[in-house]
Amino acid sequence: MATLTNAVLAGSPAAGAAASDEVCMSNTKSSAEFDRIFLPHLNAAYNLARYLIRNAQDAEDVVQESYLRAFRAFSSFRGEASRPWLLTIVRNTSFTWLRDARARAGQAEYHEELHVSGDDNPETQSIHRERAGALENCVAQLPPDFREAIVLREMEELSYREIAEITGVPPGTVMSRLSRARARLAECLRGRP
Amino acid sequence: MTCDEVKALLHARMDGETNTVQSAAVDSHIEACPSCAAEREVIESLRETIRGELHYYNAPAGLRDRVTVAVRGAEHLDGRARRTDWRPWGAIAAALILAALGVWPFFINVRYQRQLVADELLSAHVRALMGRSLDVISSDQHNVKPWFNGKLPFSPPVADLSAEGFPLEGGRLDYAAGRPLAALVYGRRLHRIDLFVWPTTGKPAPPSRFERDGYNEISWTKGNFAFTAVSDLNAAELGTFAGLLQNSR
Repeated sequence: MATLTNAVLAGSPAAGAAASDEVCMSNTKSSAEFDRIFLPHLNAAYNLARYLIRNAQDAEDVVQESYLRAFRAFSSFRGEASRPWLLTIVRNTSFTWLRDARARAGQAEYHEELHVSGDDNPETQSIHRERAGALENCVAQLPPDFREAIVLREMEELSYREIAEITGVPPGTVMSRLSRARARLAECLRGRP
Repeated sequence: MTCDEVKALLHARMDGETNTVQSAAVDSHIEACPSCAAEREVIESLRETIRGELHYYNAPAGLRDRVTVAVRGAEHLDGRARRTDWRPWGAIAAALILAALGVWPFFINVRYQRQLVADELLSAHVRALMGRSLDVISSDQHNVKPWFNGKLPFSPPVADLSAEGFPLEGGRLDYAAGRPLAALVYGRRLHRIDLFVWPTTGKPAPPSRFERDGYNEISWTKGNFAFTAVSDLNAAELGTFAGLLQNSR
């Protein structure tokens, strides 16, 4: 629960961020209202979980768990930007999952390759397949903190401030994580042209 | 700006996170610095690669339904939990307990006050038996009643119950519970009954009985007066006496 509380706290940015059309919230926090606001972000939620967890099936479980947590915390949602609010919960749920996975790995031998399923989507079967595979491998090798910074910045196009709120670190840390992540990616790609 | 300063800000500049002053400073430095320009090219190219080729994983087909069902289930469960939510009842119970605690001292106080008065009247009765018993000796109510005129700020009702076996013997002044009282004295065989009378503005209280050390007391209110009969007479006969007075006139 602590994770969720942190998620909700960290996921409640200043009211100035409430530039969305969800400002008008009724008192009845129904699941229909919840679906209307948060189901449009299902792809963003899955993509983030998928990059953090690096396994399709587990990412689905994490997303479902995240939506349940989000629904339980829905009464604390004050109409702020809904995508960062949800991604905060997805992010925290993912890191909880990773921590538990590491704990499990401490008991049984954990083969990372087994948990990194390469392409589970026919779209990756494109001309750029090899190069994209190399890029994705490089991203997969980043530490989770760097990986989430790349996903949130390059794929979700969130601002440093939003990323800082989601990940619970100062914007300066976001900046340094991004630059170090890009440096590593550039190096990794040079090594495998 | 030095190259180190520029490189520290380069990512922020390209992410659109620098202010106009910083942006201008970085841009003018890069124009004149091939090393920093090359660095920017590396980042720019990498960002294009990421944006163009890093696969965006859309949610699998079944995930939307899974999530919706799970949320509906949670709502149903939470709704059931809400229906058996005892917290409002707990709050009501707590409020009632608090209210009872608040009123309880009042009840205690009322009971305690009545007990105090009863004790004082018993003392007055016993004291009268030991010594000064009567200030006015008369079996005639029309003698006893006027006797109190000028001695008390009220005129007590005096009933003649001699026909019922409770002859009037007289009266005296007394003082109890912080007020002057009229004490009317009746007889019953060899027993003596003190009837204390004082004006009251309180609500009519139901008759109450006290019993102590072989003495009986009955208190009641009638009209604007409070009455307490005290005697060593048995409770039944004292009750008869009280009943006669309550129903007189």
